[in-house]
Amino acid sequence: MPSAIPLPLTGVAASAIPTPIELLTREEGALRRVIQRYVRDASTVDDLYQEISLKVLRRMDTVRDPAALRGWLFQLARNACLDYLRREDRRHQDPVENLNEHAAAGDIGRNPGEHFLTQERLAAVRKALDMLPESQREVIRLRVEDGLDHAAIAARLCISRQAVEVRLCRGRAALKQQLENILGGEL
Amino acid sequence: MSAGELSCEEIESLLPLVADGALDADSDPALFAHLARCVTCQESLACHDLVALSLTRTPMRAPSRLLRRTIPLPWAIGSAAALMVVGVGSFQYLHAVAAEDRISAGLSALHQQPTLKAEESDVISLGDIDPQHPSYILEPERHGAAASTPLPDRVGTDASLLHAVGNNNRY
Repeated sequence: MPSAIPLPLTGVAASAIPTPIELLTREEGALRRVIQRYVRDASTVDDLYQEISLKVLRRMDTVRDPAALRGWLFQLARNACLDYLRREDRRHQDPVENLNEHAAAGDIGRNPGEHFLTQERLAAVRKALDMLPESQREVIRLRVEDGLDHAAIAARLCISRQAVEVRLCRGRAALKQQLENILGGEL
Repeated sequence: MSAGELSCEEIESLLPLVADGALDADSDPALFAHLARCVTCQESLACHDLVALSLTRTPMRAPSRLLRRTIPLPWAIGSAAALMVVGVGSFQYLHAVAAEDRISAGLSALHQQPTLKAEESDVISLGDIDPQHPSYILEPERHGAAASTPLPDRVGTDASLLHAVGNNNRY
């Protein structure tokens, strides 16, 4: 990381909060480990790590609580990875519409094989969904496909909100387990 | 881990709700404090995020049970062959029945035709002739008279011609 970039730590005790460089140096291994759970391609991991580093440099002054710094950093990484996967998914859904945007971003020649939501993966999700009990599948469908919140799902199914959350938790956990089994741990 | 802190197992059970967006750092600070410290739980959260992301693109409204039911290939081939045999057999049977019906209808139509009267028929079978009918009994006087009677009109000309020839005897 270039040291010429000014450190945005104005107004915060420098002794309580590490500098962005110190933070990134200390957490780089853990950050890369988490990023690798979202994307497999090594160059994409590098790109995302760079993107997260830039965000840390720009926004670190917004963190006032030193204890929350690490949580903030991982939340930043999580959001960056999810944003990247959604962008890639949109690009694969409509490649012509996003052609100019991605050409300007310089990632037009990226390997199409690294697309996360492949047909095989979606088929595996479909298969895993079919293995769920009907009650859990219905709650997940109402939440994801219809976009209802927990209270609305509870009203729709005439059950309590706690029951909705229990079904949602169990259903998603079972789905994750089934997907890991189907994909051979390559979730 | 202190008494108030959550274990990784407890966190794991709540991660689906984090991936769902139902829990955040404000609503459950203890959970996110654990996540900030534990990379293993962060990795598990990443898996839940991937599942959540996959779900957004997966159609969940299942088709009817009948359409979803899959038939093993040998059974499908056997069923198709049986249907073909039944179909071809039925066609042939119906074809034969239809031909038989046409023959029967023709025969019955033939039998139901009115009997031709003797005078209307070109060919009169012997069964239609009553030998005792007065018109077929030759009377002797008529028979004798018939010999002197001139021939019918059709041959009358010829007879008169012969008569003329005989009379004139020009040959």
